Amino acid sequence: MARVALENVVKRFGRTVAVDNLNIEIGDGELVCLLGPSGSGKTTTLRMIAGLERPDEGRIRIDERVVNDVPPRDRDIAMVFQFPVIYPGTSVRDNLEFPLKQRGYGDEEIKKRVEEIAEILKIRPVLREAASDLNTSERQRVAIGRALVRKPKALLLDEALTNLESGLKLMMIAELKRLHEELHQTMIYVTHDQSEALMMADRIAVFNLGVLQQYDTPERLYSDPENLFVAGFIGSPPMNFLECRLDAKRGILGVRNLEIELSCSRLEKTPSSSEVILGIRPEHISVHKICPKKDHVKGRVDMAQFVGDHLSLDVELDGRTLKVLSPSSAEIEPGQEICMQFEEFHLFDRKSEEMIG
Amino acid sequence: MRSVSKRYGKRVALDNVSLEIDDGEFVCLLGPPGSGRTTVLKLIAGLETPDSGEILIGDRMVNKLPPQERGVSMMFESLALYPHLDVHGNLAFPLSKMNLSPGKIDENVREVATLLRIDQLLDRKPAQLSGGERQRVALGRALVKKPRVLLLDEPLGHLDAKLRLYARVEIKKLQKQLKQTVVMSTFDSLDAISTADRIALMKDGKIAQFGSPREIYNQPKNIFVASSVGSPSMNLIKCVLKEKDRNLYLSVAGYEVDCTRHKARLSDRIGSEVTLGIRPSDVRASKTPPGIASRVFAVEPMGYEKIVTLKANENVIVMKTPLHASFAPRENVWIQPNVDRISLFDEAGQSIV
Repeated sequence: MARVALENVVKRFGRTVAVDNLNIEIGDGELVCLLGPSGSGKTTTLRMIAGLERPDEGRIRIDERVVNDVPPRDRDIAMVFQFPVIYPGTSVRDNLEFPLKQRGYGDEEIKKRVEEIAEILKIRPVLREAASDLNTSERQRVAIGRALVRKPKALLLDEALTNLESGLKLMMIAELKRLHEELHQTMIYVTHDQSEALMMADRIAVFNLGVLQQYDTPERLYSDPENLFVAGFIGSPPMNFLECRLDAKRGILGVRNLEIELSCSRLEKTPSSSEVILGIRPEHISVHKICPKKDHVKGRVDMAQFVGDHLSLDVELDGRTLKVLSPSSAEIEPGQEICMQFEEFHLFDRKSEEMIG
Repeated sequence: MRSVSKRYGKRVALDNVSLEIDDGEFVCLLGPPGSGRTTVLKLIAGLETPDSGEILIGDRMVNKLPPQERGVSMMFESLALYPHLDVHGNLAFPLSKMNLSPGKIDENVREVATLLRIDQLLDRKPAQLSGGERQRVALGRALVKKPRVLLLDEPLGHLDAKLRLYARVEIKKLQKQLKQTVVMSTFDSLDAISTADRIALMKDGKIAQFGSPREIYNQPKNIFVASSVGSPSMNLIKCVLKEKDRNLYLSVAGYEVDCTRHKARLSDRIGSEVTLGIRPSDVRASKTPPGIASRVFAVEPMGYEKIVTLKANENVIVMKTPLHASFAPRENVWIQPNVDRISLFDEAGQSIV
């Protein structure tokens, strides 16, 4: 187990900056997700930690040791890929023993460790079976077992659960979390799926265009996104954005036909102009059939979908569509005119895209 | 469908199924693999013939009618676009055997392409399209003949979570706009409850329940239905129904859940084992008694809510809480189920409350 740190790390591919001056530290025994769309730099970061790519600038440390020039096999790091690599024609036991034999462990130690990891991963009953006969979840477990059996300093997972069907995925996420708690193993997990990251991680590093946007707990990323990108990327259905005018002197925000009074403490930073972007989560819009006296906007329901606990609404507002989540007890039909109130919201600077309040 | 059965060798794929889908209705066939959903689609399409029973489209019995004369289009999960044809060619293909003038074909193709917002992509090949665009081309190809019935076989299966969210809205909007009769097959309960007017929930070649999403979700007829919709799925706890001082209660891990209000339907079951069903969103927990004594096992934030897994003796109970609720692993809490919203099932798994 170990701490992993990247200091001022830059990686270029030709003229593209894949990772731009990255500073991040993953604590000992922490489970961190690197999250972002494709091309955001998350996988390149993982590959640099593994030693599969060399940074152009900066330092990578595992514990106190700088590993920039250490080859992958000497970093004591294990990696699991999206498509589990299982050695064909071998048994599950062979697969688990392989990394230990390769490193010259004694027979006793090999036996002990394989039994131990098989127990934790609940694959003991299939130890003798041919690896190629396993189902998808068992295969992925064997791949994880093979990575963990030599007790690496850090376990790196590259979209390891992305291909699984949703029920199985939820189960494997729970498994990984349990493993992480039992073993106190440092884990770094790359994904483009924000819901996977929210469920799993102690902390999430959100990447876009090679730049680390925010590194925080799932709760804070959701409730206090530092910029427009994070606000829009985290959450499903995603946050709604509306352009509006801010009269900072009077403390009033103008959104369409709505004027919202702002207490001055609401603003954390001064905006560069009066043009700001209001961000509001679908569940923070309350819906009323009878309009409240003040502070409301009117819209027309375009679509109402029952989703169990909630009703997911598409509401049309001046030619734009707002996503709204209402309690499913509400009886709302498409075509209906409704009033909406914004219970909680964020403001972003139009230019810098930073959160200002 | 009237009393339709279908066997493949010894296996019964559909067992005496009756199902009536209204004109302009959106019906989802929901069920695990092998439950008979796809067989229903194939029978409607005419790709299979029933062993017994009748299939009617409009007022016409179609058992013997070949697929192309039924006015039915089917879109498959694999999409099956022709890779060598551009989008225009793919959309025009179903019309090629219909004896239409090239002008008329082009008109129909452009109409459906505009409808699906793929009119800018007509000269692209499938390989140059994104997943969502390919999806729309396949849908356009199914719609271009203006079918009386559109059959969709797991149309959202291969889309990732974010795209799926939009695709559900798109399909439903389109269906409403065209007032198109749609029968869609899916194994994903959220696909079904968020799109369908009615859901036929299938199991072992039979329809377990046919009703609106709200009915299926709020009044499941049995344990299978209850556990098939909703994520995380409904908590099911085995307990014994007891009576004390004319009050009825369920004993769960030493705590008495009062259910006197359901007395009329329960009075002849005192002393028997029942299954208590509670949706995770109807579970509340506090840090002090009273309640079902339990311990927090795991906490998973999911955006605006958290999924908290609790253990009460041998029972695992899952709870949904707002994001700001603070629960930590290994903490002791007391569970209060919302008794207005519980379900109860008898030993055979049939709903009693």
